[in-house]
Amino acid sequence: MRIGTLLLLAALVGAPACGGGGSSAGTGPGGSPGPLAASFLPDQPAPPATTIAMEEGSKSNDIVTVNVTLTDTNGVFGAAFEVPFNTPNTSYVGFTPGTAFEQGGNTPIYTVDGATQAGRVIVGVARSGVSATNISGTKTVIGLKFRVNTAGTWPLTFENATLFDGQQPNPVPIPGIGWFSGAVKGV
Amino acid sequence: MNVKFPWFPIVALAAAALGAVVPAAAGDIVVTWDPVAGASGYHVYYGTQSGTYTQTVTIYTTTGTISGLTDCQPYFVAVKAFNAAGESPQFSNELSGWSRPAITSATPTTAMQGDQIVMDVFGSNFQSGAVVDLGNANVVITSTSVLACNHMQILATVEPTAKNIHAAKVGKLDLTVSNPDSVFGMKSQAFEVKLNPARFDINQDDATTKNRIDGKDTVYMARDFGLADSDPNYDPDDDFDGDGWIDGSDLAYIASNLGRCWSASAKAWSAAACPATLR
Repeated sequence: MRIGTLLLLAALVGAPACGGGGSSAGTGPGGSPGPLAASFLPDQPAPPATTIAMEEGSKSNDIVTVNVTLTDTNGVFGAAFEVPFNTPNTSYVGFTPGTAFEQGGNTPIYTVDGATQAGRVIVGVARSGVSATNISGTKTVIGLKFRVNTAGTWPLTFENATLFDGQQPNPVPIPGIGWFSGAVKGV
Repeated sequence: MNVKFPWFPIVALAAAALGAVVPAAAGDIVVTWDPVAGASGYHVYYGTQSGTYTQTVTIYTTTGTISGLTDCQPYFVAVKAFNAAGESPQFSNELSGWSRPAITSATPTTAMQGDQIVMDVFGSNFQSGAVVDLGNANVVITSTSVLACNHMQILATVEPTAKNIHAAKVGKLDLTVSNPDSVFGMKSQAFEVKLNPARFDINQDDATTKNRIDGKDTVYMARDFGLADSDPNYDPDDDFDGDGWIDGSDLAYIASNLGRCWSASAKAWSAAACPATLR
């Protein structure tokens, strides 16, 4: 398999892992149960330079996309992190590629798993090949979609989180990166 | 086996030159020679003692197959040309040889990357000095012993046995035994190199996730993704299947084990092997 099939691989790996939603506590028209309205409450709505932060992306009914963003950081090659989430009150649904590592026409590698360990999304995103990139402003590394199954506020956090440079033969963690997370909310 | 004719002094037959070795089955010896002018045929003489030929076959071309030979037995062969005037009084030069080596089985039939194995090869017509080849430069045969004409033993290393060594390509390999006279026998797909999943954890620098497949392994692999082993930045540790490319197949091994930890007892990656803090 060569580079040309990468996107397919990423798609396979990133296929919705926890598709089954929990019960929704909202009430729809006529008194029947309706979906919750999901949103995301970031710890840092305006992330400063050299930070990775969770921000609210698109949302629809009980599903909200949490964009993991990277701000003003040079020499970036890849990111690895994990996001524990509250289960069964929230579910991981899938991911959407970002724009940060795509800079310069690169086709990044995404490996994302939300099924192997219950309540944990494991993410590896990196540029393919030999070039790192500079991030100017705030760009999205990846979007993680969550479904809120139960009304309430459910924290998301980063664990085992590392931002890597592009050194050979192996990338090296970039020091001094701030990591900001937040919580999904269902009403 | 090649036969060179001498000069034929009585009948008007000229000398012949060497022919080519032709493959033969086990139990057969093939002899070839160049044609002799004026010859209408050839008598191929053979026996188990030099200069004493107990059997003969008549051949009307310049290639003869001697069949039904006893395994593990040297045979001596010489040829005479003949025509209406008779047979040449002198033999050609004499050549000796065994039937082609044949391989019936080899054990073990599989090994994992990183293993060192003693392989027993069974068959027939293995001559002293015979060598074994598995057709894979990264399956290194370090010693070969011919224990009997029907039993060889080799010591082989299936790379990698350490970091930064090109892995043996996974898959089935043909096994070839070649006798010192360059006659060889082969058994197709006699041995298989299997993938060593313990190699998937390429990020060993982070103690918190050592023996665990996570996004850091993805980032490491991405660094030389798409490179061939001819590239100076190629890292053999990332080429799990040993095919000479850091490619999607290698990445798939990481992706399909993401979030799993190494179980030394099961020699496999599993979610249950992870510490509670990482579940």
